[in-house]
Amino acid sequence: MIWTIARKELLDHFRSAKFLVSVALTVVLAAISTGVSGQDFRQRQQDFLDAQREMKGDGVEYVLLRAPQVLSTLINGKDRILGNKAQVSHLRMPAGTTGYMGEDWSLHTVVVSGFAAVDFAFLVRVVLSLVVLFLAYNAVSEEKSNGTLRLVLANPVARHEILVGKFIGGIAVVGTALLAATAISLLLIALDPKVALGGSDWVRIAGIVAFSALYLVFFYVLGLFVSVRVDRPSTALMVVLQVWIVLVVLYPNLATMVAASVRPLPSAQEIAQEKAALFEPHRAEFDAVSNRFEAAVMSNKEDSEASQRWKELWILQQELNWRVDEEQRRLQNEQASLAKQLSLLSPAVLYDRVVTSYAQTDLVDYDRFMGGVYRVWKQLADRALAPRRARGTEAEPTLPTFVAATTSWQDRFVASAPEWTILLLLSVLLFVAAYVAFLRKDAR
Amino acid sequence: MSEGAATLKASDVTKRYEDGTLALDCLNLEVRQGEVYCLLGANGAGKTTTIHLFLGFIAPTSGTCFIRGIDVAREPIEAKKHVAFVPENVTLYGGFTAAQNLRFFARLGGRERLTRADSESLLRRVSLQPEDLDQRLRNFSKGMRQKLGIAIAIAKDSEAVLLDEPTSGLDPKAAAEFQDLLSELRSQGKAILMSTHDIFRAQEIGDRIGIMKEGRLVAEQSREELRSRDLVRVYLDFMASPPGAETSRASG
Repeated sequence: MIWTIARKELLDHFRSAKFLVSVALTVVLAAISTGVSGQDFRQRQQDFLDAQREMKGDGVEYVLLRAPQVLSTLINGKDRILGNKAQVSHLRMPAGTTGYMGEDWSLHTVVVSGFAAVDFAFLVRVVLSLVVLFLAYNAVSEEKSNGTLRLVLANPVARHEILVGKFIGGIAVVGTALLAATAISLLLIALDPKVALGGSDWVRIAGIVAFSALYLVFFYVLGLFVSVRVDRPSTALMVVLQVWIVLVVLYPNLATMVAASVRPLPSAQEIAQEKAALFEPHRAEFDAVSNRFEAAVMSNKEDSEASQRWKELWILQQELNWRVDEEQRRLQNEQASLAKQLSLLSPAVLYDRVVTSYAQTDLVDYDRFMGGVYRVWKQLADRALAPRRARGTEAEPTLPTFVAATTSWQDRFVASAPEWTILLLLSVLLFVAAYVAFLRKDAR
Repeated sequence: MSEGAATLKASDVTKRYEDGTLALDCLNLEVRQGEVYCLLGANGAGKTTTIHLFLGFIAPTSGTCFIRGIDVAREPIEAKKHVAFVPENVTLYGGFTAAQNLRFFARLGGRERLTRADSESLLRRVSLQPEDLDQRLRNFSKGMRQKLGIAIAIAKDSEAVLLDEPTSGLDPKAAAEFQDLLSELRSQGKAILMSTHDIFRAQEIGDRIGIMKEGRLVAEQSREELRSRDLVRVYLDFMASPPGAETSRASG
């Protein structure tokens, strides 16, 4: 009986203009978004390769490059805005990366990005979730309002069979739309010779598609629940639209705003002041040594003691600056994790978190990259501070010309367990609520 | 089973809605095999509520509805195997053809296989054309939909048939054809409970007629009793009398 109803639902949807328009729209958007993201990725990849070729370390200054993530073609995340270059010498430990192609300092302070990028994630999170609600909101309400529900219930069909049948049919339809979007996106990526996907990338893609499916299941169940509770289809439509706006737009942004006001980040000026304050105890000595060093240079004499001390103090300042920058990053992460906790029940945020994690376009690898940059700087600084005579005989230390930090997909999958659990739980709870409401429903 | 004699039986059924409205007040009613029972009454008298209680759409506040002795509230699935329903407004799935609608509802009714020939013969029985099978329902007129609703009920081939003002909106010719169909179903031994506003048709087809008023069955007349009395007269008398003044069974 469940299959009879599921089949009917499936056929009903496949024939509806609503579904055909939705799938067409989805496919077109998927093609456009992947096309644009692919283009962007190719440029960044080229930029990365060019920079790698041109900027080899010369023993003093090193350019560390972050490779663009191949899956940013699907999930833009923060891959672009975080920039890709860090220029390091023993005298310079950068606070962050610089952006792509001559762009200014990267926007790495933007912890929770808005939903501006139109990528595969946007397609699922915003467009498909809405499509799913449009498919689900009248699943029961329309049958109730036009009377077909009575005709169905006049037969030996249990109510749960109707609901489960509708659920299966609806999910199959939603799955078709998702697979259509995925297929077109992957086709475009696979046809692009500059985008090389490795074995683990496919596993990550499978993870992204699986979580997308769960996300859409949640919205289908939500639509089903409203459809059971609200008898008039037009009212049901209004309700699902409002709930959607709250869940996908208002709630995530509100959580970010609250987190930003509860855990405010210091301004650039405050950071500079903090850095100055930290170095203050050494300021007088630094100025004196600077003067001595300068005077020696002016009189063409060598004051190796002053020069060594100046270097030491300068490096100390870099170290102290780094501590402030690190603290700043820690505060950012704290704010982000508060926003994360506050938006624990927002499926859109859960979705964003999981897919950017799988695509490695979140902040995790950025922090690891900056950690790597620090270690390189530390080596350069230690070498610069080592006594000259010891250095002369030694071979140049080999420093990496770039650092590509990645986390294995296994780690990413394990780390996403809470998000899976929460979204699954929310979906199950909603389905149970819809089920109970439908069992009690006055079928007149 | 003691209820076995009557295919449809309502025993002391009361229905009070959540808003406090008393829709049905201690209804007792029986429809036997091969009998057409017509329920007459003004809007809101409780006719549709009676039918909906037999279908388990709503639960009785007290009392029991039986279909072939099966308590509808307790075993709704089992009970609904034995009953077909034609609502006042048959709305089917507009995007599907008549054949697909027929097949879907036949499956729900427990009939796994409905061949094209079966569907065609069903359509002929309700005076629709076999060509109509491939028409989408959204192109059907109200009369055609009503006929298809009856075809769906016939396809189920159940012992009891519940009809809620099935002829409303049908043209006179279609209504006459419908009456013939009802006689045919009666001759097949089905128990038919029909609510209607059409006193004349009720008098023609009904083996028994119940008059409802404000949730109560205020009169029950058999075909024999009505030979000597005019149903319109009886009906209007009951409608005019003040509430509570009537006897629960008019003896003729």
